[in-house]
Order: sequence, then structure tokens, then C-alpha cells
Amino acid sequence: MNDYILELKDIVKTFDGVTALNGVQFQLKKGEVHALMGENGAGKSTFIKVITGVHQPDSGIMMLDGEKVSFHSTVDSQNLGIAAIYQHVTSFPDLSVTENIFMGQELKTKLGFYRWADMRKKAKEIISNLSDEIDVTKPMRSLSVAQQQLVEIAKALSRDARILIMDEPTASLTKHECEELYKIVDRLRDDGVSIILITHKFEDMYRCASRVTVFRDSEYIGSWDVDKISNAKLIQAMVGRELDQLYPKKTAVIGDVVLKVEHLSKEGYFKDVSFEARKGEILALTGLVGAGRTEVCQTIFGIMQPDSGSVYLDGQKVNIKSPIDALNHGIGLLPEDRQIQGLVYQLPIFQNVSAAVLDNFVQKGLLDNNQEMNKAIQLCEKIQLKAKNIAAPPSALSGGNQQKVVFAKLLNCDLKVLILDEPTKGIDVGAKNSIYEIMNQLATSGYTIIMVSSEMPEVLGMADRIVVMKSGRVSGEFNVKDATQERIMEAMVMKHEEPVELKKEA
Amino acid sequence: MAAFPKTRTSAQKQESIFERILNYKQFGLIVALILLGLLAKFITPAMYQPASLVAMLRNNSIYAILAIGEMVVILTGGIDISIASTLSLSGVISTTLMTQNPSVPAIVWVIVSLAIGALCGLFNGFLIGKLKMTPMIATLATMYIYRGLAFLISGGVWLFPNKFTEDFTVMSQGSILGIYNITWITIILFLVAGVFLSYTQPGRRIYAVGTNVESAHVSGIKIGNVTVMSYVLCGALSGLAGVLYTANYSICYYGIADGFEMQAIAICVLGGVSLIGGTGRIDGVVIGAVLMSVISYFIGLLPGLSVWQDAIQGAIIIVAVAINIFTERMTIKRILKERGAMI
Repeated sequence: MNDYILELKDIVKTFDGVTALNGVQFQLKKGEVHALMGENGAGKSTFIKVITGVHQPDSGIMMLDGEKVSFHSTVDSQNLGIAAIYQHVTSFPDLSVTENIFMGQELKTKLGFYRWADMRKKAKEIISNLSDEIDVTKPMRSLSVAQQQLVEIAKALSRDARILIMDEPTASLTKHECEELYKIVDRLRDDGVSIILITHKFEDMYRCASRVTVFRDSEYIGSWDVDKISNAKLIQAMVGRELDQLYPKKTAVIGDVVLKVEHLSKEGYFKDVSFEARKGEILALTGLVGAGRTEVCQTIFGIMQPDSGSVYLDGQKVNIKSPIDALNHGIGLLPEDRQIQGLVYQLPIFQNVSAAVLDNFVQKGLLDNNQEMNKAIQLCEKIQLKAKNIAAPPSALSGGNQQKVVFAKLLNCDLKVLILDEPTKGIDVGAKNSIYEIMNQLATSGYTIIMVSSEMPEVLGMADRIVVMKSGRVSGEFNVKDATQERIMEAMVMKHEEPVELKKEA
Repeated sequence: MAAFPKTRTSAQKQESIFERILNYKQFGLIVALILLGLLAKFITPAMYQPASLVAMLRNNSIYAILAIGEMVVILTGGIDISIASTLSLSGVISTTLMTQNPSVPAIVWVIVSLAIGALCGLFNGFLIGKLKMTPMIATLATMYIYRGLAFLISGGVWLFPNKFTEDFTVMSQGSILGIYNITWITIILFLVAGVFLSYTQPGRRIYAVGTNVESAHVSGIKIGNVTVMSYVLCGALSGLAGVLYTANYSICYYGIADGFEMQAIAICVLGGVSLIGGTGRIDGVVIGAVLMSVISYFIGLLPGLSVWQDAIQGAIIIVAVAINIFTERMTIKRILKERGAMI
């Protein structure tokens, strides 16, 4: 019929009424590397899970070699030669490297017993193509993130996959490691493997792919030959609107240094991290996943204890031993995972808002519900929360509105510094915009804001100053007017052997 | 392609025998066992009479069998506190049937007890694996249900030794090479469990589900089925423990083995089985079971201390878990240090 090895038509997938994929298309030729691009939340990851059979689509057709197929589990797709390397390495941390590689295709004797010695030998052979530093008998958790990723690649290689899906494979690799990975991708393509490469990096796409497909807001936008589409057109396809519309940045009056971090180190996470944040400033802390940004924030907030280094607040050295200490000093954290760390889903919205400051509403040993409620109403108005009833639990709210509740909770405390860890992760474009408005408003009213973000446009669009981390160290610092996507990316992936040039600017 | 980060230069180095002994996960437990053994040598030499040791192993075999089943469930990240009730239900049914049909060979009652236990486990597994109930809640409920059924079926009646056939009691009380059959059965079960957990796909799937459910899901492992299987195995072992118990003591009553589930959990914890799931080895449980029996036996022989037995066992569990946490932290620290070399 045609020369497509894999073809998906009009795929629709909803989760509890939320549309994750709305009629998307995809066509993959044999032996081609096809990049799949789009913003976070565009539906790429869900799409991959449909191809691999983790999720079943609500409607739509999937054709493999021109024949209609439907997968009920990943076993079905694996049997037909489809392998996926997921974005967050999905390994079995307590099991050995060998067992991780052979998961689902173990070598067994006729009686069904595992042939451990043979598996170890074969695992060693496969892994030696990628790295000679990985001991196949060690548990997965003892490896670094990059090494774990290599094991995942080895796993896919060992399966003789015809279609290989890689979900942001270069996200936590150094530039040099990326080059090695590109070579592996080339080699696989020359061997006739068809590859779907999900990536945020244009570099990956230009280096490896011949075609690119873009998704946006769960929809299919288009497919192009890589050499026939301009950068600008591609960005427009991905973002769908002008950049300054998306980021309503207003610069506040920037005052004195409020928070100062000096030579902060924590073994295994980050080393010698120093930066300053000023009153009214939005400071972006960016870098690749695993660069140590979240850990630095958790240390400032007292969740983790540093091995050395110090934190100053208004020029005074502070010793923060716990989140309660941090709150008492006026530092608040909006955690990356609001579902787990930010909200209590069993409690009504207003009680969530006052959860951290219950003492303020206690009269004669008893909680004054009216006072608590009134303060919550006042705060929810301030952040323009769209909720029918703040006495209902937050579970019915959209992601963006849930995030606003966490904001309200923070504002209820008497804070000076707000650390926002990926504040717009997993929320839709419209809600993002109102989160940015809130950030502007808070900065203007004198808060110091530290925003951890992986999204380059968000960093460039919202920050006053940008601190880039790479492999646990600060690898660059920019004033937003000097910063470009290229300069930040360079700092993100720069090899650490090169001397780090710190730019001190007021 | 040797250019990937060299973060574990020591990875390929062969460990010396000394290092391997030190790194052996159960090293601490074995040292504790030896120290306790030496202490006993001086304070209660009576423990070292062969008859004493053999009796000690016999009296603790039931705990060990229950601990094997409990371990399987804990490895998946679950827990089963209905095992002692399962034991009682299976013991009551098969022993009552035995007294009514004394001519039927004992192997039939073994099969019946395994089947009853497996059914109890299947129900637990259904609640937890399919209806997604919390393991603690589900098995708390079935703990009462199974014990209640045992009461109903037995009518609260005690069965005394005169009702037991010799064919039945020999299962536990007979001996080969001076060791009681019940102990031999326990040893065989440990070996089978060891092979099952290390060398078979269903056994390895139990670890896979316990260490990372999300990964198991995307790897196409049917998590619900693995969960159900683990509870069925645990139930079947508890059921088997039921006939072995009544055969061992020639007595049967619905209230037997009250509280044994905690003893089984304690053995697992002592043997280094993490309650989070995913980690724990059969050799640890073997040593845990032996250590637990030695402790209780040793304390039992001390004239003034025997009233303290429960409290001392509790204290020992705390110490053992504290040591486990400590070594775990040391391991994590070491891993971070090795990663730190990369920064």
C-alpha cells in the first residue's frame, strides 16, 4: 500500500474527561529518524504510550506494515519489534543491570529456570558496546543517571527492535555523550531501524532526523522535512503564538539582596553553589534535569542539609534545619509535585490555604473557622482562583487552579522569598499565563522569587536574572537582556572540565 | 565507544574474599548469631544438648514456614496479617475431617490444607490486587473472617491427641536422622522458595513489582496478577502450616497460633526484608528465623528472664532494624560519593 512502517490516524485519548490526544496523525518510514516535537504537555508522552500499548486509544487507527494492529499491553508491541526508552528512566532500581536488560525476555532452561550465567555474559557483551564502566551484577540504583540511560539503550538493542522510540534521550547527557548517542542512532538507522526521537533540542533534530512532526495542546499541527522548514516556522508551530503574548513580563523595582547562597555543597547532588536574589526580582534557576536545581532549593528550604556552605537572609547568616525554620525565616517553597507535596486532597480548599499557619487562627485554644475562611477568601480573590466553592476539596480543580491554591497557601505565611519549583509544569497554556501574572504581581509587591524551570522560553520570558546549573555546579549567570537561548543552552551542556566563568552583575 | 563517563573505575575490580564476607548483606546477623551462641555456651550450656537443639528447631518451624509466605508478600510491597487465621482455619477444617475419616491417608489432608490456604490467599489477593484495597486493611478484615470461620466450623471444640491418627501426627512428629519431619519440611520449603525467588520468572516478577510498580507497568508485567499470586502462595504456605501445626502438637482448636503473623513479620524484618518491597533474600529470612529461635530459646532457659521474653524480642527487633537502616544509609552515602566523583 505504501512505504510506511508505522502509521497512526486520528488517535484520540482522554483521561477522566481530559483530552490528552485529539485526533493526532503520525507516519514513520522504514529506516528514518523522525523527530517528534512540541511543548511540555503537548501529548507526546501519551502518544508514545499509545504506540507501545501502555494506553489504549479511545478511537483511531494504528497500522504496522500496512496492517491494522491494536495493542493490549507492552508485550504485544514488543513482540512486533517496538521498543521504547522513556523519558524518566524506568528501571528496576533494586534489580541488577543484567536483570534490567533482560526484563521480559529472560534466558531460561527448558524447565523455566533462569540461566543467570548466560544472561550476565550476554549483558556484558551488549553493554560493552556502550560503556566499559558498568558492572552488570550491580543493582541499577548504584549507577549514575547517564549510565542508567545506557542500560535502557542496551535493553532496547538486545531486543532487535525494528521501531525504537526515544523520549528525550539527550536530556541529561553532556554534549560529548550526546555525540556518542548520535552515533548510535546513526548506526541503528543504517541497520534499518526506524526511530522516533522525541526531543526539545533543535540540535538533536538537525543532527539525527530527516522528518519532524509537531504536536501542540494535544493536537496534530503538521509534519515537515527537516531541511524544508525554518527554525522560526517550527517554533511558531510548537508555540502557536507570539512569545511576548505568552510571557507578560513586568519588571518590578529591584531592591537589595535578600537571599544569598554561598559555596553550598551536598555530596552527590551539588557543589560550591553561590548566587544572590534581590527584592522584587525573579531569579530563574535553570539547567538540565538532574543538574541539582531542585536539590539546591530543597536545601535552602531545609528539606536537605548541606555538607558545607551557608545561606544569608538580609545579610544575616541563617541556619535552616527544617522547612518550619525556613517558613519562620520567611522562605517558602512551591514544590515541583503539588499532588504529593503541596496539597492535601481530603481537606477543603480553605483549610489547605491555612494548613501552614493554623496557629494564626487559634482563639483561646480553639480554631476560629470564620477567621480562617475569611482570610482564605481574601487570598483566593487575590490570586483569582476559579473555584465554585472553597469549602470543597481541591481535587475538582484544574491543574492551574490547584497550583493557585498552593500559591495562596504560601501567601498566607509571612514570607519574603518564594522558591517556585517548576511552577507551570503540567498545566495548560491559559493557566500558565495567569500563574505568570501572579508572579509579576508578587514581585511587584516586594517578594523575592526564585523560579526553577526547565522551559527555556519561560526562563527567558519571565526572569530578571538567570542562573544556569550543570552537573551540580553553577555554570553560568546572565542578566536577562544579555541572555539568549544559545548562551543558556551552552551553559547547560558545557563540559565541566572547562573553567566556569561566573559573570557577576548587579 | 569508551568515552562515556568513567564513574565507577572500581566496578570491574574483583573483590577479595574478605571484602565479600564484609559486604555480605547478612554479615551483621551472623555475627549476632555467633555472639549469642557463645554467650549461651557459658550461661545456658543446656541449650547445646542435641535434644535441645532439635526441639528448638521443631518448635520454631511453624514460624519459619509462615515467614517464607510473609516474605513473598512483603517483597511485592504488601503485607498479610491474616496468615495465623488462615493457619487456624486450614488446621481446623483438615484436622476435623481427619478425625471423621481416620482411614484416609494424611497426604490428602496436606492437599486439603494447601487448597484452603490458597483459597484464603486468593481472596486476599483479589481484594488487594484487583479491588486495590490497602493490604493492611484487607488482611485485617480477613484475619477476623478466617478466624471467625474457624470458630464456626470447630464449634469451639478442642480436638485432643486421642483423636489424631498416627499417620497424621507423623508428618510433623516423625523424624529422619534425628531431626523432626516438620524441620525437614521447613528446610525443603526454604530451598524451594530460594530457587523460586531467584531462578523463575514468577519469582523475579515479585521483586520487579516490589521495586518499581511504574516500571513493571510499562514493561508489560501484569501487576494485579503478580500481587494475587503472592497472596495465594502466602496463603497456601499458611494453610500447610495449619496441618503441620496440629500434627506437631496433636491438638486443634480455633484459637491456635494466635499472634504468629507478627512473629513471621518480625523474622522477615530481622532478616533484612524491606517493608517497602523489592529487597530481601531467602538466606536473610533463614538466618532471621534461626536467630529468632535461638533468642527465644536462650531467654526461655534463663530462670529470671523468661518473663521478659516478649519485651526482649521487641528490643532486638528495634536494634536489628536500626542496624539495617544504618547500613542502608551507608550504602546510599557510598553511592552518592561515587556519583560525586562525577561532579
